[in-house]
Amino acid sequence: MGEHGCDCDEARAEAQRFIDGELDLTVRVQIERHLAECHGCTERTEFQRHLKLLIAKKCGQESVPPELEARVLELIRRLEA
Amino acid sequence: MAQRAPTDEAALRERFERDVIPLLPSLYGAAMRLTRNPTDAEDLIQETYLRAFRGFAGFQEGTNLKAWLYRILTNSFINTYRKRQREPQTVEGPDDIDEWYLFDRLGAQNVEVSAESEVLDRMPDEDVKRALESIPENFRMAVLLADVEGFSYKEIAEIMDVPIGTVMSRLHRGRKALERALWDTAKERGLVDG
Repeated sequence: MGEHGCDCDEARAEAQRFIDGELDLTVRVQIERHLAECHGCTERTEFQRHLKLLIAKKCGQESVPPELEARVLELIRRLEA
Repeated sequence: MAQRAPTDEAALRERFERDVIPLLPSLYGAAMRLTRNPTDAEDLIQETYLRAFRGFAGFQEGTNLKAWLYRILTNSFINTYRKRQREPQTVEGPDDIDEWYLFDRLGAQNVEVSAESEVLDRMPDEDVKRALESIPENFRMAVLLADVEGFSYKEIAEIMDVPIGTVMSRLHRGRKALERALWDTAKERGLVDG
């Protein structure tokens, strides 16, 4: 990657690690520079980021059966440590 | 080794109940996505807590408790419930899904760019959960751990006991498979023109 950012192929190849926050600062900055000037890559990256957040939001809430915590506590209280 | 003094055991129990019990809602959500039904999810949680309690004396305080528990959950699931469910195991999984599968399809719907994501926002939670549950297990675990639980690649590698490269590839393919499942659901629900 060049000093002043990267091209579309590079930005798109790193999209997953970019949205997951898994890139080194140097590479991240290069991608951010590219995104600042490239509408197509920005749209795609934002879409994938939105999708990640959506999965977290919609799959993250589960109502726990009311008795489950009590059952788990009972189970381990019967055990010797 | 000498038997632990009663006060140590009491302290261990107290610490377990203080630190591990509050993680139950998050572990139960993961158990539901993995087993796909409340009965098996409850069994998996009980199994996980049993194993965690038995191993808790060996858990090093100050290290990553949440990751440690998810590793126990994942192993319990693989060892016990996977055999029971007899789901055909997809090892390779989908490889032929376009890189920007969902983006391209939603973009072709003659809607404004901001509306692409809104189609997904309108989808009920249950539909998104079913879509996630429909993808092959190893991919589902990776997506669940990264996106729902917010673990890093390194943590997921430790939880699933695979190299980081495998985590990235499962995550990538899992997300593509999930995109396809979400697109199919959006079509069925009439949210998009298929």
